Amino acid sequence: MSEQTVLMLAEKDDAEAVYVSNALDRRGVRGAWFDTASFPRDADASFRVREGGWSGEITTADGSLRLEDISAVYYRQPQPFTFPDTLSEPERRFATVEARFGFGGVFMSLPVRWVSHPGRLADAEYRPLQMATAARCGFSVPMSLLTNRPDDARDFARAGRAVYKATMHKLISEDNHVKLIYTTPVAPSAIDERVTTTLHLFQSNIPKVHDVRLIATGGEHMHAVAIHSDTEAGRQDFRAAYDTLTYKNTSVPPDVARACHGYLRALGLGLGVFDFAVTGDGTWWFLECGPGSQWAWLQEETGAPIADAIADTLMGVDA
Amino acid sequence: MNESPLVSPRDRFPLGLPGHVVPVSAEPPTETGRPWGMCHAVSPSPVQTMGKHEKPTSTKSAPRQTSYTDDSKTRSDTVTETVTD
Repeated sequence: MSEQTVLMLAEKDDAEAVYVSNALDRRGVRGAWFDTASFPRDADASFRVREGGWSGEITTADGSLRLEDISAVYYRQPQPFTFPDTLSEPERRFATVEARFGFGGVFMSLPVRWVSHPGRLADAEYRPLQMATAARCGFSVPMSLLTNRPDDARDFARAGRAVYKATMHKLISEDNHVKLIYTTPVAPSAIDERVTTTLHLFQSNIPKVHDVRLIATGGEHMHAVAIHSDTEAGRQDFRAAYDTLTYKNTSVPPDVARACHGYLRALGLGLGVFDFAVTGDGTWWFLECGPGSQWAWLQEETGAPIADAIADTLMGVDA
Repeated sequence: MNESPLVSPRDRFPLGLPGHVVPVSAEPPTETGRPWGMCHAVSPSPVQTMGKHEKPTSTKSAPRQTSYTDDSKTRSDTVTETVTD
């Protein structure tokens, strides 16, 4: 067994985390899980600060973990702490914030490898920041307009095929219904004064042949999967037509690979899940990079060793 | 409304909801002033089941108690969670 221990900050049945944990296990590395939803019901912790920083241990149903033994952290959408139902709302909020900033501060102080550090993740969720970083790193980025000016939006739509995308708020719940905002083609005549209400993101509608989801790590590992659909809806937004999709591992153009690594360095990320639209001339158009997006289903569909790449990155083994 | 325990963009940029976890709401759309982009939301497409490591995208309801501030008053609510990446 290796001396290394990776703290798995993830929900117990999270698909991506299970894959990574299994890959670590195959390498003889301990993956020590801390499902934050188990605190404080099934977990406790005690930490002390000394010259070298924080020390102490967390005890869960699986056993104890000393901070000093942690060599890396895999951060994958950990879930909210679970407090007794008997707490009042102010009590629950107090307990949540104290636990969050307590654990958060201790974990983020550890001098270890992260995939990815929570602070960097927070920044990297901002799509306009993603787009600007992508442009600086040499990606082809579709023409885009972020505006609350209807005239600008109409002019943009008239200049060519345009789509609307939510910058962040993709989920709408109202009237007791839940809806999603997919990538939506926009006609100039459909744009009205309601655009003034807030910022809206418009983008050129890339006439793509297929999509690519590419997983790159800070250790310069990289796997790309081409996503094909035989329907118009699936080509426009693959999330809208999963039952039509087919998957195939694909090679990555060298300039795209360089840009991906530059992007991760620029934003300090240990992992990036990039989405591209690929056109007939072979151009890979940057759409977005989800710092914590899903990839497990692609490994399942194609056998691409994505979890192995992440495990190697957590161990400090570069490609 | 993002209750992620260790990170929230709201901590750094107080711009509002991250938009992946939102309160279940019975409020209907308004007649005027509604953000144009919201009218492009549609019912989620079905997600193919893929076994243990499933769900490229899913929408799930979570009857978890939370609260929100409405005109300086804290009100109880529940949240709907989704993963849309």
